[in-house]
Amino acid sequence: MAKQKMKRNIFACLIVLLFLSGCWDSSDIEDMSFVIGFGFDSSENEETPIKHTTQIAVTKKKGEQAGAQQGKMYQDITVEGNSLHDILRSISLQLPYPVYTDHLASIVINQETAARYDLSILLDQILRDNVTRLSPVVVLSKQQASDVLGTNIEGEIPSSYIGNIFDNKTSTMKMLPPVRVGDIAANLSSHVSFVLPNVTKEKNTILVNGAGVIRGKDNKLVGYLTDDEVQGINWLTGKGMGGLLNFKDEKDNTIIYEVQHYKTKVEPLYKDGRLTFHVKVTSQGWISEDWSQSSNNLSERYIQKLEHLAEKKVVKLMEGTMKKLQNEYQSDVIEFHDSFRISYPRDYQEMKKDWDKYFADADVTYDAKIKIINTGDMVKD
Amino acid sequence: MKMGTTRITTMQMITLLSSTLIAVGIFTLPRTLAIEVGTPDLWICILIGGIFGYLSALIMVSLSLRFNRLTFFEFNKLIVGKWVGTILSVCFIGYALLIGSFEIRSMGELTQFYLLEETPISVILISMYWVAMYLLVGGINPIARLIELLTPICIIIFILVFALGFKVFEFNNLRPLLGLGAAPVLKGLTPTFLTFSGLEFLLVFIAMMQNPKDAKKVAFFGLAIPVSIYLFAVVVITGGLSVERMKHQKWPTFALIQEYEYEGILFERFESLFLVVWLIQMFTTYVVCQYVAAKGVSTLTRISYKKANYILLAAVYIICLVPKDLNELEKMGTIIGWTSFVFSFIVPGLLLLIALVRRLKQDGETKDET
Repeated sequence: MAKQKMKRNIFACLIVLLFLSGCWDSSDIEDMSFVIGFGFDSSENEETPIKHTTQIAVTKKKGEQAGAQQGKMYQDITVEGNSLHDILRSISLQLPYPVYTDHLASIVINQETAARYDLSILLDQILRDNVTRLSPVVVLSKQQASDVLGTNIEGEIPSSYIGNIFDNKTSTMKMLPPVRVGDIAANLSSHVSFVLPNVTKEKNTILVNGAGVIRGKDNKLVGYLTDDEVQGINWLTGKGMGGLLNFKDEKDNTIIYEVQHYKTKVEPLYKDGRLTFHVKVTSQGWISEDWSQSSNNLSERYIQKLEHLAEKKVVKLMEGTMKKLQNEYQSDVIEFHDSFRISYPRDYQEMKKDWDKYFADADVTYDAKIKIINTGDMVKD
Repeated sequence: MKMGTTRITTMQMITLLSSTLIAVGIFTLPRTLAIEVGTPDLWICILIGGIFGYLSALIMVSLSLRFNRLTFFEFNKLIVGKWVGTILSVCFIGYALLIGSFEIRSMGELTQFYLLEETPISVILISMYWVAMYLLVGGINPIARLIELLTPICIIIFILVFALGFKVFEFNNLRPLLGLGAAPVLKGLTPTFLTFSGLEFLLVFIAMMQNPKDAKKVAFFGLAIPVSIYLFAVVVITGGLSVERMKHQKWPTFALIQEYEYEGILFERFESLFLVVWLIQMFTTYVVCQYVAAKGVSTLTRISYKKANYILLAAVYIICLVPKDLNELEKMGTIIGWTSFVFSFIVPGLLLLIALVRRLKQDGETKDET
């Protein structure tokens, strides 16, 4: 009897197993298209103002996916339309595998498109979507976004290439820290100005150069910053992760200071309707290249001279950037509003709305303190 | 099916209370607070809310302790008479059902949004109900044991997931302290207090404790755990996202977890881990609510506890499908919050007052089996 009962139990267990294996939402990984890049361009056609490129990683073996060329690791699909979701769905008309945006790595927006359309509208679907994460980086592109995403880099997928370039933020000051979709979401909805890194396609590679200023008032691109001005931005925000400072001594010899560590403090002062910011930069670093023929590398006076020159250069960089931001673009992309909010919370409540205007009229003073703690392994005599 | 005793230990009681309090609030509170307060002082609201919660818990404790071994459903008759008492009990049952259905519906909506897009919501709900039912018919003991087992794991994972958020933490987002004075903080108190709905169940559970003398300890730790988790979460979310962004994100908690990625440790992304733990918390909250309601029904009527559970299951299922969309669901949450205020503050306060004036008290183990 007991044996029979056990048999029955085992049988019941097996039956139950049949029901346990199912999942309503299961989808096989080989039947999915993993989207890793989005590109936004504008099109001339008024009915379909957005030209959108979807970059899909090729996960199939050669020959299995017809669209991909031999050896290419990705497939680009460009569709025009008037809504992003509509465009994404119309991809299903030409691709048998449903697109899946969980692994999106970067979003490339053509400069003209960014200047024409409110970014909060362009990115609305991405921010609303339940699958897309908030971690993809957003960049502007000089060329058409579809061209940039189509760059033929040996063994690389352009959109993850773009995402990975920003890992170099520790070695150069000419690159903005990566801007993720999540970062700009709040800026867009509360109309705060910000900067986006800019990428350019050059033959068989993509490079980051300069940045675009997005004005908070209308969330549109209003202007560009050069590499040098991006350096200024990094010094002003203190958000860079290190890099080089290239300056010259009085005989025009190039000297390179490698920033090991730096910190920026912004002290706002608001008195009688006059807004002043005092920017204090402190930095520590090494001299990593010195083209001068001087023989006194180790003397204290020489180091002090270099420190002084470096300080001057930093201030110059910051001033240059500031001038452009205040006069030309009138956009506070360096988060001075944050330090002001902390020091004058009540005044900020009233000034929040026209903050960019107050920012443009503010006086700024600079103070840089640079410390050279090492001149490298070389002693010249 | 009877397991062990019908008494619960102090430890079980603490975990039961704290996991009842950790519920959907962990998703909704940060945004509600950010909108109401608007300054980075949100975390102060949670502290003050916690203190208020503790005060009301103390009222409930002293009320419950006056009537040894009697649950709310039994002692309210002694205080305000049969009729009013019955009305109060019925309202309390309805309220427990309301919370239960609210939690389970929120659970279903979020699961559908983030995890199982294609699965019909009724399937998600019903599978949850079945598991809950299996646990519920066993009575208080298995429930308390399960919660005792799960809560420490959940707490550790909650803390881990939020602690990892320090990667994107910026201290400036938390400054300045009280920049606009204390007025905004006061505005945030109501939503905070409403998050702690579920505290009222102390009125039922203290009667089941092995050592009712520990009730004050239970109230303290049972509140301290959820308050510190909420506090920690809100601090990390504010620091990681800034108040401005919290206002614009439907579920800031999830946004924060999506914000960071780690390479090199077991997981790169932590959403799923967080959701799993959170689902467990929703489940326990629901089970506790349904238990209280079933207990109430079986005390008031001749229906047995087991049968009451099956009947209430239908009620909960219908109630939870009443809100047509997320906005209505949120409205339901607000209604629950206010009802909670009534049951955790006003009703116990009044009852205690009447009991004090009429010098009502019941000692001894006369009514052991509740």
